[in-house]
Amino acid sequence: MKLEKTHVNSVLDAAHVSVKSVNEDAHLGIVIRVEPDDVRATLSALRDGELKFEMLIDTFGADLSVYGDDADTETPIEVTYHLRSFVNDCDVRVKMRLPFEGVYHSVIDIFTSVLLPERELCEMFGLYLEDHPNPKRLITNPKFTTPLLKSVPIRGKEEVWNR
Amino acid sequence: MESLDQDLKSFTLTQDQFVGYDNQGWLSLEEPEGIPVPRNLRRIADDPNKMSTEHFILNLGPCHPSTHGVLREVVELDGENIKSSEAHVGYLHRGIEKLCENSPWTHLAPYMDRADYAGGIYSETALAHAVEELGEIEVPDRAHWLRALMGEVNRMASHFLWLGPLGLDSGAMAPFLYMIWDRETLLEVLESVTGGRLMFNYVRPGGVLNDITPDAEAKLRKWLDIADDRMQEHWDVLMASELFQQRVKGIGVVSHEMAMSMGATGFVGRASGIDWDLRRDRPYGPYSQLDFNVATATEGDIWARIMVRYDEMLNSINIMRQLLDGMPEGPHMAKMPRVLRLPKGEAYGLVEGCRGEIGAHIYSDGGTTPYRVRYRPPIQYHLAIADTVLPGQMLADAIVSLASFDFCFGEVDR
Amino acid sequence: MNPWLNAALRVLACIGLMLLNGALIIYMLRKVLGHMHLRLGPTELGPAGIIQLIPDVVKLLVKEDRHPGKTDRWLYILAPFIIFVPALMTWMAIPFSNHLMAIDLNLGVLMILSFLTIGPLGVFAAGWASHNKFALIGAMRAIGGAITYEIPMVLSALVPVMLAGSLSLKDISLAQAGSFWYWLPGLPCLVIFFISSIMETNQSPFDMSEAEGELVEGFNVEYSAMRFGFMYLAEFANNFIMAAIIVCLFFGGWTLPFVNPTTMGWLAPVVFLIKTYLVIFLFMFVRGTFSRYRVDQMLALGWKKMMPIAIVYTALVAFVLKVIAMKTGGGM
Repeated sequence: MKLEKTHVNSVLDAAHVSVKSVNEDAHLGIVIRVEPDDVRATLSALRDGELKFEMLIDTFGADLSVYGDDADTETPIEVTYHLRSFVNDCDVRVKMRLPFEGVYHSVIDIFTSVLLPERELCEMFGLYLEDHPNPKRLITNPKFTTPLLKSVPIRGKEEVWNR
Repeated sequence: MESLDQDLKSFTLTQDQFVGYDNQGWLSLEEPEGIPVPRNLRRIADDPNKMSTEHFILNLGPCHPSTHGVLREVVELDGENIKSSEAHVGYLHRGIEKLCENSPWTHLAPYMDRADYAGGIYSETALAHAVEELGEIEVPDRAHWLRALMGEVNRMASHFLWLGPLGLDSGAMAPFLYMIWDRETLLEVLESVTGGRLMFNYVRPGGVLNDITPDAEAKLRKWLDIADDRMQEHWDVLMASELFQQRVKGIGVVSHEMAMSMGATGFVGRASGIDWDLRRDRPYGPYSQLDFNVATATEGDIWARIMVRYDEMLNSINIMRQLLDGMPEGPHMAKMPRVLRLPKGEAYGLVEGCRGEIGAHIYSDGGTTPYRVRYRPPIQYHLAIADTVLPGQMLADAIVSLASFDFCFGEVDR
Repeated sequence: MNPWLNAALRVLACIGLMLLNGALIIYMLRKVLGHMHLRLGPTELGPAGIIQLIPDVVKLLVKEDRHPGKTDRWLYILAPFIIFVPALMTWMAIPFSNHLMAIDLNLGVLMILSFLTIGPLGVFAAGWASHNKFALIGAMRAIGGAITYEIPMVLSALVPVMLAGSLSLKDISLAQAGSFWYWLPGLPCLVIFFISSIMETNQSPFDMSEAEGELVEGFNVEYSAMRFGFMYLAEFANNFIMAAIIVCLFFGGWTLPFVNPTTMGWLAPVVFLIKTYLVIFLFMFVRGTFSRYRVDQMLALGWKKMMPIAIVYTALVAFVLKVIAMKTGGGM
């Protein structure tokens, strides 16, 4: 089923959830942008509403501090949730933005699939993880801090000197 | 808040240091009374007034013949029963997603190869789909068919590499070597076409690198002629054996609710009742014109996963025949500019990989290199499921059920 | 001849035979398993890899003998011997022909079965003394399995004893000379004894104490060099012993169906060895084919299926023999 903005808006209105915007991206489909405080309500509404987005396919982040000319340096870290409904065969994405070293509240009691991705998200971008049963690092060691931030260079200093 | 610490160096845990999580611990966050626990953690503690044997902590360490890849599974054992378990990963983290931000769009295929190293073609295809979606690049038909053909060959090779060691973990040594023979034949085909046995660097945005030669096609057809007999032989040697069935039936059960809430796609989802195959439901490339079945099961135990995958292998043989017979003529690569620039935006490319749904979500800021590449690993979600399923089983079952999820740690750690 | 010299020579002969047997079984194992696995086994050294064993033995002799720091030192040193020596001692009672045996015990079966029970104690000692959790798990599994499968083994060994009327292996072999051996009247017992002997020798499908997939060599994970060599050799010696007992009890020892056993001369040991190695080949065949049992499934098989069958069948045979004895006019 081709998901329209009206479907999503009706689901969100039925659950009385207010979001920042619901857009139709050319390549991604429907994207819902929310404030960090409304994420849990939005995800619950999408899961339980009539569209039945039962599976959270992916959770990840991106550091948008130098993304184009209108980069948002206040809340640069964008967290994306990608939901899928098998019954209706459609996908939707929920995006929210957090500041550097912000506090990220886990949505594990809504979807359990964020168990490992949230740990990775918070260690990669330097966020503080709350409400998670096992908030340890997942794939890096303590010397390797927040690698995916844009302030961490890809090339080491020696490598740049020797070019 | 306190720092997030990883005790990678502590291989010998004493009883006090270990905090395990049983399969109830994820979903219920209440703290047991009377026992002071650190915030957000839950401890398995026996009532000291009851008589019980001491649990000991075993480290199925990163160097173990049976944890496929580098998985460190710390289990708390009561005799042979597992009381709680915790998986530690990160031994194979190479920073692929960060490294991708440094290379031009067309040079990303080797990075994607090394993510899922047993099914490299599909990882590359996911990225290629994403790039073509964002750049609105028209890929010729022959390239789509070649990608699908090489993908299916890779899928069969990866499944043989899974099923053999699954038998090996349960004790049967002969089927492993029989399947390696088949895998070697398929890897020869892959080498003739792509140049590599495991790291292909074959699927590029816009098409594929090489066309298939008549030599490689003859090799593949020769194997396809005996493939059905070979699959029947593998069935007779491994799966028809009652001992093996006794080891895998009813073990490692993943319920439908757990699969749905924990993000199980691919064969794990299909074995638990989620009837979803990207080749059939979101057809890309030639799959809308091909005729194949998708198997599902409802029990969700290891036997169901084996059956689903065995059926997938038989269908894969069928698909390969159809792809070889119906391959359209034409170029194998679109006309691409020398330096590929993609407009600003995001795109998502998905593909039904060997282990589940592989997705590549890319952010482009209009330059020659990606801004962010996210590789959606199916196994990261399956690892959480496997970890939740372990407590309550015996140690021997744990090994077999860990093997049945088909881990490939390049994906989890990237 | 001086009786001490006589005894010493017999012991040395047994040790020599044990070593030769070890060599032969290792070669046979590697070739048989290799061909079953679609590969060739050793082929480089010597024609068809016959000399491969010599470098392997030299390797085991010159390797460094590492042990972890916290082992229970005396038990760690002693454990390979506890496994090895009873295996050697059971060789004393095996009859290769009418006169060729180390000791002509009239309690042969009893002695062999009792010495075989000491082996698992050595396995447990090895696992415990290694101070390694994997070794401990392997050792405990071995003990559980050994205890479980001893009862069906002993009970099923009683049937040929009852049929022949003697505990001596030589007498049992001689008693089968006229008939077509005891495997037919004792068929359930043959099956049970075969399965129990796979368990006693820690082979697949009952090798959960050395399961490579899970325990990385199980109880002998911390052993290296010649200590490991002892245990390895003991495993093959055990293999031979169990096969020899099966042949003596159920397949007539060195006798052939219609040949007078006392006049077989040099043919007797040849026939005995051929039969034994055929049974060993069957062990290897089973080893390369099946998956491994899980521990509790194996124990369930032993207690719930094999023990009742063994008890019932032994009682049945005893009853039938008594009835026959009474019918033919008294006698014991």
